[in-house]
Amino acid sequence: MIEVDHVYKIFDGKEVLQDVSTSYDAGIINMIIGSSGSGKTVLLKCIVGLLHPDKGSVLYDNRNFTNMNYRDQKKVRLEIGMLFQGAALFNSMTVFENISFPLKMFSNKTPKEVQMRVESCLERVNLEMKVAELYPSEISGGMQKRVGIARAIVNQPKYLFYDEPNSGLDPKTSRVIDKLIKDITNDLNTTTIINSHDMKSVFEIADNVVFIHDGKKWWDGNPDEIDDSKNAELLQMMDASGREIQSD
Amino acid sequence: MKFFWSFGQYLYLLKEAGSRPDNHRVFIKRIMQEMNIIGIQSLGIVTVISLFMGMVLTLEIAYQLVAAWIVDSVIGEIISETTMLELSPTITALVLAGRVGSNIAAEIGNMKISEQIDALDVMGVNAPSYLIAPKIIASVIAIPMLIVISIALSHVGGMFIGHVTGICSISDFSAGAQHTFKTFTLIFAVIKAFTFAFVISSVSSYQGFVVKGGALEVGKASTKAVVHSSILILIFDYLLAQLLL
Repeated sequence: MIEVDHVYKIFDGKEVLQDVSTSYDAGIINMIIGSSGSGKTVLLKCIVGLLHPDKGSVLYDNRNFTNMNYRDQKKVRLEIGMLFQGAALFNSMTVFENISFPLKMFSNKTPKEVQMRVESCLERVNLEMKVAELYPSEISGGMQKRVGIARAIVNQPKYLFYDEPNSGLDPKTSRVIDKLIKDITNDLNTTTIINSHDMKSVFEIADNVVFIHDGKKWWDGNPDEIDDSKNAELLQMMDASGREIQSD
Repeated sequence: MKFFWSFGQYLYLLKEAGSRPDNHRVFIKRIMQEMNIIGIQSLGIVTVISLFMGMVLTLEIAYQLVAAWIVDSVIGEIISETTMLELSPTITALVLAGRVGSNIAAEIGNMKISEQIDALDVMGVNAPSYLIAPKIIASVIAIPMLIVISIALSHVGGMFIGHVTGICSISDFSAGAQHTFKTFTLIFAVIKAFTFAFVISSVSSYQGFVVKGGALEVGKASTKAVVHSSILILIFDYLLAQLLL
């Protein structure tokens, strides 16, 4: 379980996050939604430690991640897997080297064990082993996302984060990625947090939704409750994306 | 004010790069990879500039020293002194600032804007130690070697063209070079090489690491890396000459 406790983040005197408190349970899919510039990416970066909150704290299973020293933070980081918006694969490495990178850095696995683990992760994300020898520039955007997911799960993380997993993908591939995220969350029982503005994903895979607007948490609940929500901003976002969903 | 802020940030990055590597085996492998990129792959350009430097110097010295009372071995003496003291270390370093420095800044800058450095951070990898330290270590090993090779090749170039054009014989050239050789001059060249190598790799890594934005900013960072490294090479060239000679 991850808890965000009264988090503030200020850039150049502007409060980009204001008193955000929320919690994310394990084994379900938690989504942070909001329009561009709402502060959802800043919130996700504060949760994973890429940004340090100016006030407040983030707790991983009651461990205060924000106030930990570097060595303790590192232990938590080894339990984290993350898919970045552009997959963030290392250009100079092959797919195999990308996926095996966390294993080679932080485990004592033999080359054979590493090979087997990479094969299993590639299979988990529905990619063939022949992809392993290719470089990121030689594979499609959707495949890059899948390789990014394989790299994120290779160390069997407890916490999985996805930053805009569907951005830049066609609707069909987006649904494939959504299904993959749902299956992995169920299989590994991870605390999964997805940062997205894809409302179709919200209704298809989310179990818990946090709506961020103007740097504040405006609403949270499960997707079925969104229709009943009296939050004008959320309903406006819903209406706009509803039309996109129909046009798909 | 901005200079002090940037300098502080540069020192902080060096401190982070100097911290204990996450995995020593991977770290050594990374140093070897960087030695290949910085050292072996620069060998071609260093060979070309060094040979031509020696050849042109021989012709120019001969053009200026046309007198019956000047012995032929003087050409070897002058070339040996000038290439060791100044030309090989400085010109090679300036060329490497362009080749290696821009490459380092572009590589790290591209990793920064495409969130690859964030990915390292999230995984728990100390990004400066993983990315910057191997480049600095590889540079301070490979660049002095390249500069010593450059000194040797400029002698070869000078000797060759002196012999081919009949300006001076190989034996006269060698005698001149040996007559003027002082061990300290070579040590001075190597000290310069270490300093320049550190400047090129650390300044370029810093420029890459602080990139914000997109491809345009990566290009600007590469340019800045070359310009700042070149200026610092010239400043340290002066300071070392003032301090050690």
